[in-house]
Amino acid sequence: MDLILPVLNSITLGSLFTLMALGLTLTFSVTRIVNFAHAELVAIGGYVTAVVTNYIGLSIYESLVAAFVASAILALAMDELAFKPLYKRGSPTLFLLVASIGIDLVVRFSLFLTADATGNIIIQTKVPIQPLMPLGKTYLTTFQVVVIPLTLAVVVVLHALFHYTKVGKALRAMADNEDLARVSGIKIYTLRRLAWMLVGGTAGLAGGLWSIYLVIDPDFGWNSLLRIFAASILGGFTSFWGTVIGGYIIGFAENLGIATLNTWFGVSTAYAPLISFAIIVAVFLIKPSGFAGIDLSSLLAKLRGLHKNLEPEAEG
Amino acid sequence: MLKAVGLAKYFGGIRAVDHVDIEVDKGEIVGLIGPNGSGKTTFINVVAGVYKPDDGKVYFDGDDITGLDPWDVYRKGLVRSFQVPRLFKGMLVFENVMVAHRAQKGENPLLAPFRGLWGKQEEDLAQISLGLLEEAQLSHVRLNWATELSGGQMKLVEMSRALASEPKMLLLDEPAAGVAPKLARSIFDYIVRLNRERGITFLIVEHRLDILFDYVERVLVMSNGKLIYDGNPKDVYEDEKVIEAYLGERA
Amino acid sequence: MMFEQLYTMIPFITTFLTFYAVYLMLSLSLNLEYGYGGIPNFGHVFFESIGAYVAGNLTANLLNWIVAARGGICAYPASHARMMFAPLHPIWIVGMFVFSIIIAALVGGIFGYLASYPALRLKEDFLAITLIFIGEIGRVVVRNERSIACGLVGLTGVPNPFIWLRDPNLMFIAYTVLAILFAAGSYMIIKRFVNSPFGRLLKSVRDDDLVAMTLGKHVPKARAWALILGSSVAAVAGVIKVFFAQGVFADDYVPLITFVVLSMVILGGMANNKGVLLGALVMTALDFMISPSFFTVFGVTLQLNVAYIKYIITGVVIIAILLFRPQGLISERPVETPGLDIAKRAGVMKPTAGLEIPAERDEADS
Ligand SMILES: Nc1ncnc2c1ncn2[C@@H]1O[C@H](COP(=O)(O)OP(=O)(O)OP(=O)(O)O)[C@@H](O)[C@H]1O
Ligand SMILES: [Mg+2]
Repeated sequence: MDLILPVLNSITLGSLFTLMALGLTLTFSVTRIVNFAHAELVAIGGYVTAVVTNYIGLSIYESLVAAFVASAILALAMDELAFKPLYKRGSPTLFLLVASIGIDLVVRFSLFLTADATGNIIIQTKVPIQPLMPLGKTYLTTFQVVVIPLTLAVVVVLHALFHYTKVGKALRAMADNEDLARVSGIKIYTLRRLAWMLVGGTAGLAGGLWSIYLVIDPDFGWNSLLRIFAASILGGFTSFWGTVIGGYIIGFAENLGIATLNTWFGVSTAYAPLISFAIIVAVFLIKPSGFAGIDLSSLLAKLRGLHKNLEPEAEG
Repeated sequence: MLKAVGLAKYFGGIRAVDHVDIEVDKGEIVGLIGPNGSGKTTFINVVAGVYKPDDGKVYFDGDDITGLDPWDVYRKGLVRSFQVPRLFKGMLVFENVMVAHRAQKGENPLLAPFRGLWGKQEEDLAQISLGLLEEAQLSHVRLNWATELSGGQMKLVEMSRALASEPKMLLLDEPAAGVAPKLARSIFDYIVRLNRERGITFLIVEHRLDILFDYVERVLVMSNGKLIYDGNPKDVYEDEKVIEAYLGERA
Repeated sequence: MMFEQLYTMIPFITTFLTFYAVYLMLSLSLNLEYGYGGIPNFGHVFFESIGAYVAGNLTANLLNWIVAARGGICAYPASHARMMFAPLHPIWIVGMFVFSIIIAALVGGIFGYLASYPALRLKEDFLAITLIFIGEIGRVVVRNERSIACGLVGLTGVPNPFIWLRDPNLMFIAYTVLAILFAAGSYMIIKRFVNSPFGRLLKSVRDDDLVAMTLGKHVPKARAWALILGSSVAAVAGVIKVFFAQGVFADDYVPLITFVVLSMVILGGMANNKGVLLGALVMTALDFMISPSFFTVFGVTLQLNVAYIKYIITGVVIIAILLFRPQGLISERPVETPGLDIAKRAGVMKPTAGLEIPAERDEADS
């Protein structure tokens, strides 16, 4: 088996999953909402990128910015129109989850309706992906050279914002205790808006990049949701670096992992989603209660008997 | 009746309950006090099976109940109330009390569809619940939703609910917190009556010492998870450790 | 004239009523789990699909064995042979239907019990995620595994138990009556279950599981039972649908179905079976009115794919109800037991000499 191609695919998809999942992690960290409509922030980003590039003819970078903005606005709208009013009324968290399912349906099928009416049920952003250098039987391409560093850059920015700035400190205070944040004079709703814009923006960006790499349809966000959740949950649901690790694990498991299983045990590649699911279940069973506490690094450290915590920021 | 031996519970680095030995005799009313965060609620939680202890043993009525599940602790006749009233919000006041009765045949899903099998018991339990609500002067709100009550009434429903389970011993976590002084005293009068008439043993956590000390002959003081005093309420103000614990809190 | 029109509408009406019956069973059982028990079983469609696979697979295999068909249950000749055999042998096919219902209810219950394992360990949001994805995984497996329901192609040749009536209209009418009887039966049974101390137990676990525990409730058992009963009813609903469609297709059991059912429960009113009756009716009617076939009945052909609009409306209903009427169309009622009757009948009792409580209790809140 030639390893280079699956490894390269794993890294590329891992980056994309990470980028998709970062927003979900951010959402949960700040608002404690398990947001199923996150899938649609990704999907809208994909469609905006494809439409702006293919039909309006702007450059791919401009299209990605448009995707970022569009999904950021959508995320903001979700919060203002549904989550925030529910939250203010003190609805149980499960209601917010149910509301997010409602939002998902509205957005997903509006997208279906529009895409169908305009003949774009299937679309791909038309950007030539150039081979840069040969790697074994395959090539390293411009796509990978952009996506991988970009993902890492987004993580670094989010991490820095969250942990080393006043705004980030306030966001974390808000996540821990809203009342405290209110009393200490932090403008909660401004912060909340900022958080949602970042959530939407990064998800839209991820969707946009995905639409360059693969053909998309209006269901692609929803179909990726299992992996997005798996990446985020695996990373502890509140840690950005955890999400990166989670994203790459999913990327590798679903490509290299399933390719290996396929070659050696004849397991159908159609079972790839089972891996993400198995991961979610495993994490839940290992540490079902303390969700925020599961971060992979400390888990690994525990397994190795090392007591070195690679992710000191993770909240216990 | 209740005996905790070297009982300990930690939360990460916090020693919420730190090797506490407490013994309450049958028929006693004992007060448990201590500054905020001294571990009183945690002690109740460990005894009632909500948390598993990190160390030590709990005995109740001669049986070892260490680490039993909460429903098994209840079965033994040891029942607790909550510091902040926690009523079932989607239920009537009457239903809140009905829930707590023990050994309800109709709770068994295999019997539930057949009214004939549990209807009679249900009627008897309803009479008992109504009696309890009447004693607590809640009759007029019995068909209100639990959410429609005032804070004081909620405290009373918690009491009635706990009593419906026919407990041998009640662990009450601040039964008079946030309640007007007059009502607080009636609650304690009620407790004394229950103690005399039904022989229920009480361990009562309470911050309002002025009221508590009029009703208990023995008081336990906790501080930083440790038991620092066990004795007469009159002498508690003279005890150096206790003074230090409470002053330390204010400082 | 009038009669003729009605006659042409028989397929439409019977389909509508059968779907209503199936949706009703699904929403009533989800209401039992989520509305009463507080368990967000948003993988509900999976338990429906279990009933469907059991019914389809059992019936197809058994009939295949009887007709000695070759090539397994998925082969077209076998499927054809089954459909030819059934009209001549009413006893066999009715028997298969009854047998499927019983086995599906059992297997559904067993899977419900298995689902209680995560249900005891996870916080409700995470439980919802897990159950949704369990359902998805189930679907992925079945669509890739030919032996269960013929994978992507789906299993056909599961004859309607009234196929021996020959006249399709008659067959559909008879089957619709049967489906409605099943739905009515489920309604009665669930009503009996919840209007009992068991219903009160479920509500207590839903409202505050910790308090329920300290009041002696074996919370894991209560949750497990809610899931067993709910899943069992869902599986029976699955059987009803399979014999109506005369086939099973794994891709019919997507999370979307659960969400439509969820919208019925939320619209009708959680923990209120009458409300669910209404919610399911409204959403099923919507489902039918926004469909191409409905418009063609009136001679209108549409350019748009209206199915999308259906789901948009479903989403809007969910959000709007949560925002503006969280209790649903009909709000929650107390559990009706003989005990409640006594409490209702008892007059306002006079304060006794026991507790002297100040008149204005509310000052206590300050
Ligand atoms: N679930 C928990 N997780 C972590 N720490 C806890 C938990 N419960 C209690 N603690 C900590 O244990 C200590 C004891 O708390 P506890 O609630 O038992 O005190 P208390 O005496 O009941 O106080 P109060 O008078 O305010 O009710 C505190 O420091 C508290 O922060
Ligand atoms: Mg306390």
